[in-house]
Parts: sequence; structure tokens; C-alpha cells
Amino acid sequence: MKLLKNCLFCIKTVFRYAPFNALIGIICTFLPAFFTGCQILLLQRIVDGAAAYVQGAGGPEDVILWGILLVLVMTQGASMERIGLYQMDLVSVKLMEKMSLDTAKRLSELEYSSFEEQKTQEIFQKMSAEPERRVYNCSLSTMYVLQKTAALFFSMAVISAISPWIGLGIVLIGVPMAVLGYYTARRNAAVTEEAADTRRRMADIKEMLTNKHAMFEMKLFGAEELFTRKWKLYSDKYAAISRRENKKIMQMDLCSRFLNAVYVIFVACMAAAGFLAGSLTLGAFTAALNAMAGIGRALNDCSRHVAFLLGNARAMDFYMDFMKLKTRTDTGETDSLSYFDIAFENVSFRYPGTEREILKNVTFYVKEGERIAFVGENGAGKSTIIKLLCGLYEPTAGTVTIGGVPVRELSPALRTRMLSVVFQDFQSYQLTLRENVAFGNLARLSDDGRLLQALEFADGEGLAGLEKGLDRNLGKLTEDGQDLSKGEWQRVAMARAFVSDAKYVVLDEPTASLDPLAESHMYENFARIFRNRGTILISHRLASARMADRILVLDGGRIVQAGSHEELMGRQGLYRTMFLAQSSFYKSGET
Amino acid sequence: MKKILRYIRYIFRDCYKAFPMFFVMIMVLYALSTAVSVANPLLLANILKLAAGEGSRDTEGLICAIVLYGLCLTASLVADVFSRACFKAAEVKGEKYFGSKLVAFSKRIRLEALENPETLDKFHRANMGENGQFTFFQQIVMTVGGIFTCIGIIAVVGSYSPLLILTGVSELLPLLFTKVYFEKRVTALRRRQSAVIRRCGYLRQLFSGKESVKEMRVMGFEGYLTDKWKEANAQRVQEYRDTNLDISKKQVWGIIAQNICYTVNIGLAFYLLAKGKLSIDAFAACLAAFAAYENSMILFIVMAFQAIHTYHVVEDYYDYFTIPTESDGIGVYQPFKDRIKAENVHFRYSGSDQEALSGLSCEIRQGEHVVIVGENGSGKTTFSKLLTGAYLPASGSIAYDGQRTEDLNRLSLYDHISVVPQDFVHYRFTLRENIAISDLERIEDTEAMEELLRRICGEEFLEKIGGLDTQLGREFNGQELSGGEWQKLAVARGLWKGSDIIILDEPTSALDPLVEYDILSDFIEMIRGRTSVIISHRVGICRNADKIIVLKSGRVAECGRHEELLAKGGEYARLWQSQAKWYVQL
Repeated sequence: MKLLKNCLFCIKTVFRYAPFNALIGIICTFLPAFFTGCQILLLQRIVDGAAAYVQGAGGPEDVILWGILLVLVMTQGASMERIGLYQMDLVSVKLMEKMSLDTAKRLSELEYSSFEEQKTQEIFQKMSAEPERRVYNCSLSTMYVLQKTAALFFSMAVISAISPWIGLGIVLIGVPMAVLGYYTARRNAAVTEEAADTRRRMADIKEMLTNKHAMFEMKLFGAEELFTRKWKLYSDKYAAISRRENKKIMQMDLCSRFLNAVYVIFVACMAAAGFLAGSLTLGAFTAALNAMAGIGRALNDCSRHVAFLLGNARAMDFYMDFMKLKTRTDTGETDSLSYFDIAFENVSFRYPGTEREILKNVTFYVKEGERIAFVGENGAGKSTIIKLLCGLYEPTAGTVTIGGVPVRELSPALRTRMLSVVFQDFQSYQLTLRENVAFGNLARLSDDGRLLQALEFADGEGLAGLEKGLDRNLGKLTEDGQDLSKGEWQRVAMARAFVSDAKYVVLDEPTASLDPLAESHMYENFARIFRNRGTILISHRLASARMADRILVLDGGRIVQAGSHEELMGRQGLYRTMFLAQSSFYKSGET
Repeated sequence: MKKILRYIRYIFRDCYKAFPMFFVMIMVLYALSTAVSVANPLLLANILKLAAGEGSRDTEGLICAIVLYGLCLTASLVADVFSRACFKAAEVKGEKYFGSKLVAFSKRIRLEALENPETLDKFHRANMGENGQFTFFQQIVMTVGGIFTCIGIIAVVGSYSPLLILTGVSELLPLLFTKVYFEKRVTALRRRQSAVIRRCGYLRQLFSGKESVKEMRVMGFEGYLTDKWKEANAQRVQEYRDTNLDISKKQVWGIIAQNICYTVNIGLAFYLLAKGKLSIDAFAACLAAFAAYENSMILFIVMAFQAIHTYHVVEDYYDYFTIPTESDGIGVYQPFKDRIKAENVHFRYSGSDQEALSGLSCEIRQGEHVVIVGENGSGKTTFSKLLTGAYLPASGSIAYDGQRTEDLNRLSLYDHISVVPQDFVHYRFTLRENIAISDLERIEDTEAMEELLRRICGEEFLEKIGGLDTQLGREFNGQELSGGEWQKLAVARGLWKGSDIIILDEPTSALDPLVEYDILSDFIEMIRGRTSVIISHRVGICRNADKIIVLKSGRVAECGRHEELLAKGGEYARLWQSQAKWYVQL
């Protein structure tokens, strides 16, 4: 039922985006359905006419007339089908043009939490590739199935006119064949589903064999045997599943073919009997013999298309789920603020659908221009605080405000003016260097001076030193593009923060892949450039926290300590322990 | 062309090896169904001849003929079922065979070959080509079957009148031409558009990734990217539309031409009938033959072109086997007692125009704890890879007590070396396999493994994960670990192998300070007595090292102990100061 709904949805979608082309497409695909039946009729006439002519009972005119008609029907049928396909091509273009935009729009309207949830990840993976193609395929399959069915029924009617027995035979055999065809398709889908996990594992192993890092480890650890063993295990498992199912499928197939064969012989006998009894003309006899081979093929075609349709309709499930995802509610209207202090008040947070409280009753304030650092172990909730600050999530309890207004009520544009963030998992955009940097502040997109300066602050001025300067393509997407190393990308990401004019700059662990010199430079620049700006810093390396006015120490989702470096060092506590641990490597205490 | 033929031969040879029984069956079934398709019009003609035979109607003969015709059709149906079943069964065997062949070969590949991104890309495609090798085989078989059917049918109609041969063949041309034309245009379009399609796909995927969505929403460039994407999409659609419109139009003409040929055929047959050169039964047989001919013709042309498409998979696949395999030395490695000596080592990655190492020389003594430091790109990781012998120097040598790495049987050397690489692998296997992969012989030593995990990953880790046999990795419905946890596993893996030499490349980059401290101090305990090489950005760990090697642009800039180098005031002192000043109390 769900599949039927999906098909209907696809047809509706196609009509929404390209009603005219879809209509012509359907007509042109549908009309030829009747031509197969016509061909049977015409063939009968031609043979009869020819027989008459040979026996001298009639002129060649009849044969010529019917012949021309037959040719017309065939050429027109084929051409029409072609025109129909052309229209459908246009439909697909329109879908590519319009529907893909709507999909993108829908994506940008989704609540951010959808992107992080595990189960929705699968939806994105399956449907983000090209949903319009799926819609197109599904509607095309639907049309074909209808066309083939119509053709079948019409041919049947024509043949029934020649001999009702033959027509009745088709019904008797066609129905079980269709059912068998349907089950075969279902079985096939079931195999695919059952074996999906095994197949993914096989792909995973193959994937690892082209991964140079994995190959290095494999060789050094002498683990080839494990890979071979795993490959054998999964490929055997897959073979066993398919063998089992193939057996069933083949049995069904044989049944259906057997019915077909019975039918063929039945028709041949009936037609011969009719012919011998004189109730069928030679033409009708020829047409019947000719048609029965064709009908077997048509039945086959029909079940094949049903199988395609099932696959295509099932693939639409993901799109339907996608359309049901939650719409975002963080696009408020507030466009200006009178002051810019940040306040977290009694904030508790649990990720949607999980039990664990990441933040427990967290309260803190950041005054405009203040420099704050968060420190704490992995999983203490540091990054979550940033996500809440950016309004990506609604706190489970408590409020997050900037200038007294809850962040999710700010307009997105205003939020951008408030915060500039370099995330831990910052992205490397396969675009130009200019764009990569300017994403920190799009207003500066063509302000070369500012962009270069930002790069310089991030110790990455060399990146723009090549021939094309800021307009060089980064990444492997274009032929002239060059990929950067992890450290270089990190500089680019940092430059984004430097180009921004936002009230607060947030750095979430920004220096993990930099070498010591670069890291040290970065901190110095950072302190210098953001002297008068609010910064919120998250770092594992406590050294960087030292330049903050205030350090907040997180442990298990609570703020356990707060104060300047000196204050915190003066007290026993988590911060002191952590700092001493890290600095023990550097201190020349013992020597 | 020669290569294509050779690869087709390979495919048939490999398919025969993979499923000899099915291979023979498929061939027999295809021969059978070809024969049946050709015989079909003949049998039909026979029926009609008997049926049309005036006066002396041979009823028995007619029934015989009809039964024969029915049997023939049945035979073709049954052959079809069996050949489909054979293909299905063979497909599974084929996939396993081609996959296993690949797996077996991959193990022997030279690592260095995988460094070139272009080659790597190709291998990736070869591996991922959804069983294209088998599909290709199938397509070739079907094409050849179709060609033989066509030839057979042409021969049949030709036996009635040679004139019909000519028109029969002519019918092939319009279809072939439009198909070739279509292919050319589409291929050209695809090639021209590949960049913009890639760009579209890339931009589109940005809108569904959590990391990119987070950034674009917070920084406010969602709109900008949407516009970029619209632009790229519009360009793509425009070109696609232009080409497709044209192709579609031309295809209509092609089909009309094809049908005209068909008409001419029928007309010619009728003309011959009228002239008395063709009997009425032969005429009917011709009509049936033309229809069958058209079907097989379309089938074989379509299949042939699909085969052309699939060929690239086959090409990638067999090209893969031309990658140089490891040239192994013969010397059996004797554990070194004295020193590892690197002399004037040069190395360049294939596909790169810069030397990663340019004249590096240094010594590592047995039992020493060595730390390698240096800026990004100074050749630290490359040097560590050369130390293992998995990569060989382009010139110069690395020798263990005089045993040069290129002369050694690599496996015998690997037995004594363990690594924790910078780009360690997340094995989506069980936790046990993740650790034991470095030394599979001890995979059942649960106690030792749990002890190791407790030391490296903390007391609660095992409990949290749910035991050694828990599947890891979200992809397979297993436990997903954080970056730091994966790294700790990599460290545990490296330590699990009880080797004389251990190389750790940035083993703590993803860990937080407390854990880093614990692990590093524990390390030193755990690797006591083994020769160790640690590569690190954190110069802090150098103080306890027996030797510090400072690399700069692929060469050794300085070498010595912490105090010596600090006193020297060179590159090392600069690195040290820049980092230490943040930690030392002011």
C-alpha cells in the first residue's frame, strides 16, 4: 500500500513540475500500447489478402493498403514512443532544474538536530544523492507498467475476437504468471535486503584494500590472513543466501514458464483446430501463432517492469521520510540588540532521543569583550555549549541568551554578526581559497586586503602566494585544484575567524594539527588581534587557556571551577591537576 | 584494440575458472536458443505450407508441425529460464572469484604505488565496480548470441531470395548509426560535464552533512552556497537539455528510417510473392522472420553498447594487476644488536615533484628511545615509514646492523617492528580483532588483552563498550567510538604486538591533556627495553628521550639529547621555547 502511495506521489510530483510534458509523455507512451493489438489485426488482414491474391480471388490493393497501414502503425508507434521518451527527458530536466532546488530549500529548512541523529543520517545518505532521479525513475516505471498492462489487455481483446478460447486462455495463464512474477520480484528484493549487511562488509574489506593506510598496517602487522579469511567468510555467506533464494526464484520462474509453454501449445492447437474446421482464415491463424509468442514476451516484460517499479517505489521511502523531518524553529525575527552579553542560565541539555544529560544546570555569563576559555576532559560538554550558544539546539531546560534575547529568537543574520565559530570538525571546502576564507564574513568576499591579512594572521600567507593567489582552487574537485595538508586547512579555517567582524569569536580546539611553532604563532596572533573582542576558546592544551580573562572548568556536564589562570592555579582542583600534568613535560623543575 | 581483445580473453578465461560448469551450460544454452530463434520462422513456414496446401490437406502432418513449433517455443522458454538461472548462480561465483583474485593480489602490492593519487583513484574504481566483470561477460555473451541469431535469420530469408539479405542487412544500419551517434554525443557531454556534475554533487552533499550544515548556518553562508549550487545546476541542466533535445530528435529520424527499411523488406517480400518467386508460406515465414530479426538486432546492438560502457570497469580491473608487486629481498632479518643506520636517504612519493627526504642520515642505537620532531612537512612520517622497510629509499640506505632494508625479506623484518601510524585505521571489526590484528596468534589471549586495554583506554572502557567481542563502527550497527578512543585503540594495537622496535607517529594528537599525560608516562614504562621511535608535535616529551632527531626539509637538522640541543640554541631550542613558554609559570 505504501508503495502504491509512493508511485502516486511520484506521478503527482512529475505533474507538479512539468504538467504539460508529463501529459504528452503519458499520451505518447500510452497510445502505442494499442498498436500491438492493431498489428495482430493487420497481419491477419495482410495474410488473408495475400492468400486471396495468390489464389486469384482478389487484387493486390488490399494487401498493399493493409501493408501500408501496418507500416504506419509500426513507425508511428515507435516514433510516438520516442516522442514520449523525449517528453519524459524534458520532464527529467525540469525535475533536475526545479525539484532539486526545492529539495535544497527543504534541507535548509530542517532543524539542525536532524543532521546529527543517527537514524536520519541514513535518510540523507540514501536520498541526498539525487531524489529527482528517483522520482523520475519511479514515475517512468509506473507508466511503463500501466502501458504494458494496457497493451496486454488490448492484445488479449483482439485475440479474443479471433478466438474467444485463446483470449480465455490468456486470462487463465496470465493471472498466475503475473502473481508469480510479482513474487519473484519480491523475493529478489528480499535477497537484496537480507544480504545488504554482508555486501556492505564485503565492500568494506575491498575498500580497505585500496586504502594506503590500511595496507601499511596490514603488511606490517602481517594481517593479510585476517582479511582473506573475512573476505571468504562474507562472500561465502552471500553466496549461500543467494543460492538459497535463487533456487526458489528459479522454481517460480520455471512454473511461470511452464504455464507459458502450456499456453503456447494450447493456442497453437486451438488455432489449428479452428483453421482445420474452417472457422479461422489463414490470416487469423498466422496472426494467432505470431501473437502468442509476442504475448509471452509481453507478460515477461510486464513482470520485469513490475520488479523495477517495486525497487523504485521502495527507494522513494527515504524521500517520504525526508519530507517528514522536523522543520527548523531557530529563525527568529529579532534584528538588533541593545547589549551583547551572553548568559547561560540553569541550562541542562540532553540530545534528542538520548537519556544522558550532557549539561547539568550550567550557569555562566560572558560580558561583551570578555575572553573566556573552557577546559575539561573529552565528553565534559564543551562542544555542546557552543552548539547551544549558536542556537543549533534548544536547551532541555534553562535559557541561552545574547543581550537578553534567547539565541534561537535572533534572526540568522544577527546571529552571524554576533558569533564567528571555528569548529573542531571545521570543513575544507573544495572551492577557491577566497571563498574558503571569506566564509568567515561574506561581506569581505572581494576585499583582497582583508582576506590576505586574515591569512597572514593565521600564518597562511604562503597559501595565496601562488600564481592565482586568492582565486586558486583548493581541493581535488577541479583539475587545477590542489589539496592542502591538514595543517594548512586548519590555517584557512582560522583565517575565517580573523576575517570576521563578529562580536564573539569562538574557537573549538583549533590547533590540533599544527606543529609547535605554528601553534605558538597562532596563539600570539590570536591574543593580539582579538584584544578588544570577546573570545570563547575551547582547547585541550591548557596553555592556550592562559590568555583568557576567565577560565571555566567543565567536568561531567557541570562547571566545577571558574577564575583566571592564576586564581585556579592557586587552588587545588581539576584545573591545577590538568595543568601540572601537561606542563610537567616542559618544566625544567628537576634539572 | 589489442588490449581490449586481451582483456575480453581474460574475462572469458577467468569466468571459465570461476564457474566452469555454468560457463559450459551458458554456452550450450545460448547456442540452443540461437538455433531455436533461427528455426522458428522455418517451422512456422512449415505449418503454413501444410495449412495452405490446398486440396490434399495433410492433417496429421499439420498437427505434427504445430507440435514441433510448440516444442520449439517451449524449448526457447526453458532455455531462457535455465540460462537466467545459470547467470544468476554464476554471478555469485563470479563476484567471489573476481573479489578473491583482487584480495589476493592487493596483499602483494607495493605500498609506494598507492601513494600516487591518480593511481589510487583508479584502483578504487577497479575495486568498487559492482561486479562489472561478470556483467561484461554476460553482455558479451548476449551480444554474440544476438549476432548469431541475426545471421541465422538472414540466412533463412536469404535462402528464399538473396535480395532479402541485402535489405535485411540495410535495416541494421539506421539503428547502428543513431546508436553510435547517440553514444558519441552522450559520451562527449558526460566528459564535458563531468566537472560541473562533480561540483553539483559536491555542493549538494554539503547541504546534508552535519559538519558543513553546522558551519554554514552559524557563519551565515548557506545562501551563498545555495546560489553557487543553483548556478552549477543551471549550467548542468542547460547543457544536458541542449544535447538531449538534439539527440532525441535525431533518434526519431533513426527510428523512422529503420521502419522504412522494415517496410521495404515487407514490400520486397510481397513483390517476390506477386512475381511468384516466393510461395505464400515462405512469405509468411519472411514476415515472422523480419519481426524476430528486428528483435534480436535491437537486443544485440543495445547489449553491445552496454558492454562498451561496462568495459571501463574491466579495464580498470585488469589494469590493477599491472601495478608493481613488492619486490622482496631474500635476506632473513636477524634482530639487530647494535644500531640502525640511515645514510644519505632520498625519497620521493610518486606523483609528487618534491623530495620528501633529501639526504637524511642518522643512527638509532638498540634500546634507545628516540623522538623525532620538526615542522609539518619536514619528513617525519616518511622517515618512519622507511624505517619499517615497507617503503624503500630511492637512494642511500637504511640498514639494521648492516642489513639493508631492500635486501631483507620484508616479512622477517615486519615480525620485529610494530607501529602506531598517524593515519591509523578504524577497523569495523570486533574490538578483539581491532587489537589482535597486529598479532593474530594471540587473539584468544583474553586476559592479556583486557589488561592492555585497561592500561591504555582506562578502567571503564571495556565495560562501556560491552566486552571484547563487541562489533565496532556504526556502519555495521556496532558501537561507535570517539576520535580519542579510536586513537587509544590504535596505541593498544601497536603495543599488542610484542616487537623489538616500535614506531609511534603522533600517538596522542586526539587525546585530552590528562589522558595524554597518563598514556605517555605509561608508555615509557611499557616499552622499556624496546627500541622506540616517537614522532610528535609536542616537544614536551623530548626531555626523557635518549635521542632527539630534529628534521628540517627532509634532512636531519640536529641530533642529540634535550639538554645538549637546548644549550646549542638551534632549531630545537626554537621549537622548545615556542611551546614551553605557554606552560612555564610566568
